[in-house]
Amino acid sequence: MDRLKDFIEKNREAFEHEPLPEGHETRFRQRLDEAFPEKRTRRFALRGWAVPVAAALIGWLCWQFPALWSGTDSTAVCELHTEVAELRTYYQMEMDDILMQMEAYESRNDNPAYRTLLEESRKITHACNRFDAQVLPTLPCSDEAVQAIQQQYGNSLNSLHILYAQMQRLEKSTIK
Amino acid sequence: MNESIQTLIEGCRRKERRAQQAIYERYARRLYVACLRITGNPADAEEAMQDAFLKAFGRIEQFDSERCFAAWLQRIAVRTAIDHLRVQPETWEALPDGYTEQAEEETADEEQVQLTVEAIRRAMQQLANGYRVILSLYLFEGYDMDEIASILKLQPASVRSQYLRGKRKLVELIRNEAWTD
Repeated sequence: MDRLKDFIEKNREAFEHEPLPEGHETRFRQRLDEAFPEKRTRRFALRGWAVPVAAALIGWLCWQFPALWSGTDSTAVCELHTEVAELRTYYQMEMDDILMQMEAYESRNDNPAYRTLLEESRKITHACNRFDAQVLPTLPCSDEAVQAIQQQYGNSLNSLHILYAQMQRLEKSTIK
Repeated sequence: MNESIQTLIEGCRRKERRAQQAIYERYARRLYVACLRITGNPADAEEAMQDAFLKAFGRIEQFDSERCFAAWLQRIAVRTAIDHLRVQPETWEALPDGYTEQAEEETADEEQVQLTVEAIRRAMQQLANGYRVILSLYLFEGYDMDEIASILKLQPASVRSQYLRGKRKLVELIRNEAWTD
């Protein structure tokens, strides 16, 4: 029995009542401006021919690849939709965790080997993004879709684990 | 304006300042509280919290499920707060990785200590970083011992030992404060 844990669970909401530091919004705006400088929008700088060309291209793509237009409508009625979404979210969070830790390693070690490992890891996540965009919409709403996701993301996650382990070994060998 | 999270996420993907600030306003308190529990002081907690938002905005295109957005943000904040502590090695007093001690049930003294929200909050801030992180992750963030071991790169048995030791220390701090009140 963990009396402390029980007490905290019963009074959880009370523990969330903590005032934010004064001026935090102003400080965050400044940091946001530094991290993501706002680009000058050039809404009216498009040349006359660009807009109709873009519209024609989008129309052609929708005609060639109806899955792009239908989006998730066809899967909305699929019973496996929830499972597929949850699987993807689970794997994405796992991969994101590893990437964050690799970024932390890379930022504190001035060595090109870390950058290389991090870049390889990012290629893996980009491949998963391409899978989501190009392959996933074409899969039937069935167990095959679930298996395909598990295979794609499972292999990707394993690869990330291997690269992360290499990074850890690299740091350990550097410390020695 | 009560925009849906999905709308705001889409706005963040387009790097719209308005959407980024709206997300910040919506989740700042929640993330700040989590970071404060881990870092132990308001200045570090604010910095870690804001770092977490900036990281999230930098990788928001990887996220597309409104349902788990808060959990995703929280996870980033927890990791960022822990990383914050790691760059302050002189304040990280975690026990050696191989440290274990026999697990003990709560003592009679611990059972008699009067627990209040404020007392726990104050005592948590007085704990050494290592104990505070483990107690925060286990008691407040819902991680289990294996997950905590993975995050902190410790053995699960060591995490459990440190948790018990940290908990005893916390209770001792609460009891001592009660006596001096």
